[in-house]
Amino acid sequence: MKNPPTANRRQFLKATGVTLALPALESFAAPGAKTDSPKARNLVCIGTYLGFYQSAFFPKQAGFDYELPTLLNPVAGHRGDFTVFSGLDHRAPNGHGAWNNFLCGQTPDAWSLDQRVADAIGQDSRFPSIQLSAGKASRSMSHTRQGIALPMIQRPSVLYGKLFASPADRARNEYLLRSGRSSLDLVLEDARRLQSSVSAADKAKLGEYFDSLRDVEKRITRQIKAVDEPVPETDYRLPDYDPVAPTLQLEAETLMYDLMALALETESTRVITLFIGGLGQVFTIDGRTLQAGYHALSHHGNDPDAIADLIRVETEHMKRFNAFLDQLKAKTDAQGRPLLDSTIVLLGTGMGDSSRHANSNLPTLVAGGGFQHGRHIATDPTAKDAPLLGDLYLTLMQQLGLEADTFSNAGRNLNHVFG
Amino acid sequence: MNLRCLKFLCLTFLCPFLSEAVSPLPEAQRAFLENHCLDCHDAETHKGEISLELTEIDWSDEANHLLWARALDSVESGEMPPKKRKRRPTGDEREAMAAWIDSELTKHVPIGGTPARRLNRTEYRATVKQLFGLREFELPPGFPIDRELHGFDNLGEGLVLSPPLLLSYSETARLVADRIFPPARKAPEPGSHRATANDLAISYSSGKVVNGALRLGMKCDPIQRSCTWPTRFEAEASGVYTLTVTLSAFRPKAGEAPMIARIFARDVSSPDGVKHTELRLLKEIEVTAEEPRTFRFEAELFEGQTPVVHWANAALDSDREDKNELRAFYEARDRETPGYLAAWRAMTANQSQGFRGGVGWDRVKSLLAKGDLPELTQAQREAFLKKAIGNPVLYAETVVFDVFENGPALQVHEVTMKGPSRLIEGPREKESQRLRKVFTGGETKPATIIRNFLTRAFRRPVDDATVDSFVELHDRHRAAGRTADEAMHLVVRSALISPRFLYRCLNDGPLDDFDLATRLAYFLTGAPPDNKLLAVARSGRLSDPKVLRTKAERLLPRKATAPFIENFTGQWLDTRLLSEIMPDRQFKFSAADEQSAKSEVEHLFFEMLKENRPMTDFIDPDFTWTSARLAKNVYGLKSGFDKKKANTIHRVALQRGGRHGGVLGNAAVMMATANGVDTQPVLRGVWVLENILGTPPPPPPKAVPPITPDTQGARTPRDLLAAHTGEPSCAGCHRKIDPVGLILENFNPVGRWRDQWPGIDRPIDASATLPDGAKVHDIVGFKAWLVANIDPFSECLAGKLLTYATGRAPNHSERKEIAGIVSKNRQAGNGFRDLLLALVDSKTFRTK
Repeated sequence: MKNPPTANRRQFLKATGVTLALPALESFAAPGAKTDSPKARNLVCIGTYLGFYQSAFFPKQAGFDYELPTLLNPVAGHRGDFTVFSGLDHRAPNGHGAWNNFLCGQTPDAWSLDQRVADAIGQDSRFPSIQLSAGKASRSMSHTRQGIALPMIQRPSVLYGKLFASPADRARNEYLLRSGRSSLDLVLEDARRLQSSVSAADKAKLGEYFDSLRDVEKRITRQIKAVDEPVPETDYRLPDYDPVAPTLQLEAETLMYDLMALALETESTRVITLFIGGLGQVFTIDGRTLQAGYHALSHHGNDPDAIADLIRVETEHMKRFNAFLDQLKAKTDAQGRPLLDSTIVLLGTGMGDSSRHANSNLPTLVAGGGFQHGRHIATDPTAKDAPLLGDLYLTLMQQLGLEADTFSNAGRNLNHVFG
Repeated sequence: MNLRCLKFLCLTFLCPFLSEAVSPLPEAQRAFLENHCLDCHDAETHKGEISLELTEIDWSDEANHLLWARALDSVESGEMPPKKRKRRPTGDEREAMAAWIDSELTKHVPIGGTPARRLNRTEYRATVKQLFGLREFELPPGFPIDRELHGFDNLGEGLVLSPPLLLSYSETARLVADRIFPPARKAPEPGSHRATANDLAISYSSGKVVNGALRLGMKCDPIQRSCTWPTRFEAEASGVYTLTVTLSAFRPKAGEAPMIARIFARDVSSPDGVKHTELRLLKEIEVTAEEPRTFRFEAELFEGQTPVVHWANAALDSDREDKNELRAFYEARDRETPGYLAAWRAMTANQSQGFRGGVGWDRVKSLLAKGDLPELTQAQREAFLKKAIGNPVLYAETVVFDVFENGPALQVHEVTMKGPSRLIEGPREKESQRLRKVFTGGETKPATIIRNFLTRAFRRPVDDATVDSFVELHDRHRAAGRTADEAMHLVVRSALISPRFLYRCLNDGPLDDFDLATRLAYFLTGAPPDNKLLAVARSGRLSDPKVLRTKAERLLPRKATAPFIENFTGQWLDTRLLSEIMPDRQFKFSAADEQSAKSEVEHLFFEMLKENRPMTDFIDPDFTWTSARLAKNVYGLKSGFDKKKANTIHRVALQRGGRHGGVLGNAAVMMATANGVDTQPVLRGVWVLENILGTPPPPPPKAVPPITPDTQGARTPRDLLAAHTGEPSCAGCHRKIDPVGLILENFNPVGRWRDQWPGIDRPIDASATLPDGAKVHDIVGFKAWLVANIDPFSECLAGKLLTYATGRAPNHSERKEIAGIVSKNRQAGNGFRDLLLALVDSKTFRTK
């Protein structure tokens, strides 16, 4: 691993002031040039639309010896494999629209963390990235470099079809790909004819068209190649319906997590996002149907009964999250290591407090990915030089081997907290 | 001689055609810069990121167009050099400098210059819809959003094409082609599915399962708030199914009409918020028995559908404008159960939320059980009823739990689906028949079909080479053993990703009649030119000013909800942001109010256009369009509006010279320029400069965080802003921004008038000194000033219209043309429609 030039190190110290402890040299070295063997290979980002009830999510004590808060109880078995953060956010204004900031930083709809990572490391996979939602997606989470919101798959059967296509689907898919390539050839030729006759400004604009066309062509070629490769097979079977009804969101969550673990295990993709919806869903938990929809509960107005039910729903999310971590620990990657060791799992939200629609102090948890875990990192957002959520994202990107010095309004990192 | 000069000389000698793009600075102008500008704007200090230490200007660099246009504004307005400088240029010097910059800009910045313009989201959707004759066409979820530039999402430069977008185009093209030429599919095996009460959907407060039956209690339109449906079933194919529904009446009221259950068919993939009124009715059932009875019937379910059960004559409704039913409901319960209203009132006394759903009802029950509730006075009763009726989502969704427990409620015990017993032509098959007819236009020869289709798709005659390449693609596919449908499917997929379809006006040379038709049609209708307009273009007469005007008049919107009005006003006035803003609860601003607010602005714009109202009526009209709720709650009107039209926009006469009315001081704009919680005078100031006065400030310097005065503090926002207008680095812009922002401080974050700053006991001081030195006391004075100086506003709006129409921000020469048109139009009565039509005939509009 290369050490960065000293000048950078000085700039770092100057920029951050002396309030931060000097990071260990080892972890600081991570931001160097894109490393050949990054510590983590996959990124999974999970965002809940309605956030988490803060005082049930954030431990009261900082450091290693914190007492598990209610919402972390379900993941108690993985305590040594995750770090929980409080006080982090993007310093973005409040309001529904700012939910999209979650992976984008201070500017909603900016190049999101997952897409930045997918652009760097996802290109050789069957799917550069996969975007999913459990429940209806009311917000967008993943944004391309151009700020374009990416669609999310809501039906487990559609994801399953993508990962483990049936012979009929594969035949149709192959037909569409091959004939699609002939239509690309045609429009490419036509565009070339056009280009010779348009103004300089239009030529530049057509340049975008050619770039995009080439990219799509590459993607299609890759997909055609993948058609001939054996498709991963699985014994896993979905139920014969898609749990798209609001009442079945938790079931959809379970299936999505199962398929996500399979997608990583079969190396179908390196980057996955999962949006966890929150509208009128009325859940039945342990045989008891809750007295109000999820969204109504989130507007709890500090009513203790509403909060108790809200925490019940959130606990269900955490149980499913825990089962996902279980699977990542049990399944292994190509090198025989547990998937969790090479997969960074970020659990967070763009909503700090849904009762007030506040987007500060975002509940955040990072599991796996080869980091040293086990702590609650409590940061004081009012402190001068307080770290930002984007600083954490920089550390995640560096762990994945990206050369990243800035993310939105953040320009440092939190490497030292995992040191 | 420095290197740069040398380079310049070389260029002049070697490439004479380039020399025009670089003008050397004459001695007099260099002296002016040296004496008055370079102290701050030299290469080293380059204050405001501007350096004027130059010997020449390279006009091929577009950054220089903007730089010198700004310099001209600063010199003309006297903003630069700063007033505090001891040595300032004489009037003559200043005029000479301004005249020189003006002539250079006019010479080097010609009218025109929109780069090839890709269809944006809304245009693309309208285009596909019109091209294929689709009745319904929504873009797939997550279809990429366009980026805004200069406040609009349809500018050539901002409409970038990216790989994911091209993929989306390609994917959407396939979906459209599938609708015309559906791929062959295997018929499914008949099967059966049984859903018991626990397999039925519940959301919000739509139902509750008690003793093995799901009870329904509301009849609101959105199915997610009133209906239920099997959660694990969707029809695999369009066909006839045998449905059984087991229902009963739970504690029906004696003497009342029987319960009516309606069974609808619903696409599982449609939003849960879909209204039952939009669904296809399968069966209506009268339910009188208190014992479960099974109703069996045959019904057509289309692929992907599931049956939905709705109780049509339930008492409760959380969505309707008429709230008398809710009132009657409470009053009846209060008569039956003494203390009922008192318990409700006690339960909600200190709570604005949190009790929604069964939680609240459980509390009411325990209060009733405890007894000892105070007798309510008439005023207390009325106050509570008003609150409960005024917020039906919160209250109806709580009181419905009383219905679930005590009835009357409609009980759904079981729903079963068996089939399909035979397949039918579903909407997919029927639609494809119709779309084929549109596509072929009755022709049978593939080559003819393809030529006609491409001419429509590319909005102009298509050259033979292009047509031939598509015909070849088709023929090759057929020769490879593919079906005729598959070959046309491929033609459609290919045409929809061709640059000739995706970009408009992508041709050599000036804007021809076809391009003009395209520009005009997308401008005024948001869609491609129709056959009539294309025929005029083909005849070569469209560029005739008289013909152009007549055609433009024909395309003008006929209603306030037209795409042009929605897209333009939403972006000019930023009212598109409304859906992103959640007004704080204290403002009691409902989702319907938000819709009304947006609609008000559209109606105002429509009337201005339709009635050719004078431009000053944008500022201070004698009318407004509003709903009764907004008239009362936001504008504080006592009369003049229709009280029955709570959420329906209607015309209301106003006195001129008031606080409200016009584009300033309406709810939508005041909301869009605040954040839902507090106001930010800086945001509003920038908004006024950009969208009313047409003098947008440059973007804030990167290093400085945005300043948001803390209105909760002890000092007034005015004091706080003064602090940074004192800061020299901020003052330049904020001296212009802050005053016009403060003028609007009397409007709270939803546009309601206020006299005190919130949180501090201080009267609002909204007075300001305007750019020309005029002093105004408040919004009324500002509006009077704008009416007296209407041209800058008209130029601003004209500039926005042309930006939207041509896909580029007007440059110096174009702004000069606009100013001429505005001034001429003012002398001719200053009508808005006249202005818009004159703009269509401008050189700016007619140049690529």
